[in-house]
Amino acid sequence: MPESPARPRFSGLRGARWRADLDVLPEFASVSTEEFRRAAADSRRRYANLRRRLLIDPHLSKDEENTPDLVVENPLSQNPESTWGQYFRNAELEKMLNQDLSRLYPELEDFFQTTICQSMLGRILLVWSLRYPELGYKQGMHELLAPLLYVLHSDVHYFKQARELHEELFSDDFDGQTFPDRIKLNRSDRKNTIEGSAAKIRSLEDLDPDTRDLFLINDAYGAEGELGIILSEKFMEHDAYCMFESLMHGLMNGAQGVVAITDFYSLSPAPESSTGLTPVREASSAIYHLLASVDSSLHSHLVELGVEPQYFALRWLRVLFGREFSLDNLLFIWDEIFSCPNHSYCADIKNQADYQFKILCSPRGALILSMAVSMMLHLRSSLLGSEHATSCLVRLLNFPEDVDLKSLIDKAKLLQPFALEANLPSSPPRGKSPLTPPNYWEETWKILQMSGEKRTGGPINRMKRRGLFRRSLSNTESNVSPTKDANSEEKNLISATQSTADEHNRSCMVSGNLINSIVHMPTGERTSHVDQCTADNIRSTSDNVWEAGQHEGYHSSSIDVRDPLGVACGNLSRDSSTSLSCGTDYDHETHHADEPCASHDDKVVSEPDPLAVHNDKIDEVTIAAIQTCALVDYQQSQQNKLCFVNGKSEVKDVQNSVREVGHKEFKLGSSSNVADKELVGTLRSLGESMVENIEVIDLLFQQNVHFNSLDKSEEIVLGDIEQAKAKAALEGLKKISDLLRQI
Amino acid sequence: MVLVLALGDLHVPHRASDLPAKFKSMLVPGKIQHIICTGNLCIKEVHDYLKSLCPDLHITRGEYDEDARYPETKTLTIGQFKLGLCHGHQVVPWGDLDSLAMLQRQLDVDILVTGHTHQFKAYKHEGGVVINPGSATGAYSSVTYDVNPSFVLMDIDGLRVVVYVYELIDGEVKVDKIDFKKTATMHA
Repeated sequence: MPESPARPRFSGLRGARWRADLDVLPEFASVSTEEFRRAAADSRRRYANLRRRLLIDPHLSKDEENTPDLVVENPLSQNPESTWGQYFRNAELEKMLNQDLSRLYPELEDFFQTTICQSMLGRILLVWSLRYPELGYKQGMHELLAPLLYVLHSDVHYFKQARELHEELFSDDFDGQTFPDRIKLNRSDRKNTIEGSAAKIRSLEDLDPDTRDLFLINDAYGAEGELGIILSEKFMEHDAYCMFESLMHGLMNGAQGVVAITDFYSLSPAPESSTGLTPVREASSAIYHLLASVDSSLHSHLVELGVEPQYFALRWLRVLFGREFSLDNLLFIWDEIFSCPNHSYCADIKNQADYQFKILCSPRGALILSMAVSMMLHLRSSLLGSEHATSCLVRLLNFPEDVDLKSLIDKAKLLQPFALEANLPSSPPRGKSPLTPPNYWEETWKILQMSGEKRTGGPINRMKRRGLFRRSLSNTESNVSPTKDANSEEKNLISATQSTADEHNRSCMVSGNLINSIVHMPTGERTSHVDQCTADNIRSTSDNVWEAGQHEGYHSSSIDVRDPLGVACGNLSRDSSTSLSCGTDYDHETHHADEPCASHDDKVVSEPDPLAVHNDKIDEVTIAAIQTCALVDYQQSQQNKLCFVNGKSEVKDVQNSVREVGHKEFKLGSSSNVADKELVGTLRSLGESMVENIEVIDLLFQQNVHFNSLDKSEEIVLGDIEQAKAKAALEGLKKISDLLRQI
Repeated sequence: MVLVLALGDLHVPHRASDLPAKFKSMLVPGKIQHIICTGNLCIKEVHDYLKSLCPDLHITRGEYDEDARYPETKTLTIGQFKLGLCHGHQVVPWGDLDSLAMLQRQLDVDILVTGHTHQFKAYKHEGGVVINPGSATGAYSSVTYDVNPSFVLMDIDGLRVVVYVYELIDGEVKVDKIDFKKTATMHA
């Protein structure tokens, strides 16, 4: 029968679709109904034969054989070849299977715990483990099988309903022909009961093509008769076995595909593997490989904590996420996984040198791993917030149930092409990230736009940006030698502005990363962690602050944050850059949705306090203040990094500690040898740079507006809020500059 | 499908030290669902050994048994079959089919298992079966000298019972099989 390939196959029949995807049946669109039915019948025959051969009943076999040797064929026989021996081995297997099956999906016991279903599942698994004794039954396989049987069951149910709707087409009224009166009567009766629209349908031709196909493939009089009925309750067991076998072996077009679930259960390394790891561990490390290239910070965090990927990936992969999602959600995930072809995506990739991970060679394998990475990214914030391997694993192994499945799958699909690409040996393990998960990226992108950087290429520019950053870094480093020349000051300012802009980007990235994370973080944990970190860092800052340009002294965990601070502290004479980083700080704030601007204003305004008290040593005090500024800056970035979200008391904590450090450094400062400078000049240049900074921000701001108007409406709304905050921050900046000038 | 091991007259330690090694290697836990023992074990150690093969153990009292708590006769129902158990020294003449058939009617059982004569016997009688598994250790009796160790394994499946007879002859285990079908109308 001619089919239009564009039509989606079996829109309502997931089981039939899976059977086609899993290579049990041919693609419906490509073959005739007869062939299709024949394929179904063949697969069922195969199972029936297997079952007959493997499930031994010693009573039956004795009737067939002529006078078996009783010394061998008796219940107590020690001979492993005897039917009794096999029988007892099967019984033992069955006992093990039933132990697992009786605990299968207790929440859906109406289906899975019925005797019919249990015995079907038991037989399928028994046949499987007898057919493949080298693989055998392993715990978890039943959870792969159960959803397959479930979808077949739903298909049959669906068909039954469709059949009821068009009942008159299926009644075998052969006997009615001899009684024409009765058939008329029956027909008219039925017409009355059926709704008007359905009653008009008199023959198969009147039905819509989908329904007609549905009936044609399920017609008991079609090719292969009853055995060819595609959706048959009788042959659910046969079909489920064929699907299971195909899934386990990863069959594709009759050949062995790349992803075979049996590999995940295998305890010995694959023969072609160079790592000597078992396939499931290799797949686990492939997950980390992918994660490293997508989200290196999460990857390094997990690696630092020593969270090995196989700790959680073993379970995820072996049951294909069956334990992580409810059955309904799982079916959608499997829809996607199965619909991906399982052959090697590129024909010329054959030998080992051409790829890093075998599993990533097929689109299906890539999707499975992408799904895993997508799940990890979903937990990203809480993972980054966990400071122990155990708590990370707790989160990974207790995947939240109320997830946005669609976005999770979409994310995985977006990651899939990247996973395929990441598998090429030429790709570096990290740093190259053309694709990040969309949610995360969207957020980052928004913030990037807020910062007003005129970037159009988006993700590709990260490398560029990094280069820029390096350049600015070298700029500032080269400027470490103190200069009082106005020109160089100006130059420095420019470079500093550059670095600030750069800085800004980086911090935006960081804060972008964390925006979605904030919600999930338990506050207590966060506080303690941040407190500790802040304390440590303050100490290290006070120790090292006088050693200009020495970045190494910082024991901070984040490189991104360390560098700017190092530069800021190093340039003791270059107030401008420091104040600029203050400005950057403000920018952080404006983009950090939850941070109250007011409290921050207070903080910075309060800093000149020691200035007023110790008027005679303003020189040192200024430096102290600057350092405090730098500290504030540092701590703000630190806050961003560690998603330290408002809560005024916490902010106050930091504030207090900052003030203390300010005092401490003031004392330290009095005994140290600082380059002599004109106090007024310093302050003035500070104020000037502040003003300049404000202007820069103003400028960026206007670009923002321009950018936003091009964007979607919701982003404009969001931008407005950010704008307001930025404005508030600007006000604060102006205040400070005024204050400084007055002094 | 149920496997029932029937044995008796071990006479350990008085007339035999233990079960033959070949029998012991065949009798492994996990296969057998019930053990019926006609008696004359005679000591508790044998009882414990049988218990280790299968916890569902039914024993009647032989005249040499130490444990006096074993009953004289016992009946049990396995699947569709009703089984009767008795040592047999009470039934005179010893091993006489008519006398045993009388006991079978008395107990109202399909299968009667008795011992004491140390000789394997199996009769189909009046729609039922009368079985004597012999001596599992090959112990001599008051009427026989030369005894081959033997025991019986019954495979009860629905209305059908297959009796496997294991006999140790010249150091080799010989297995024989007797099929018995119960007609559904026999015991309504």
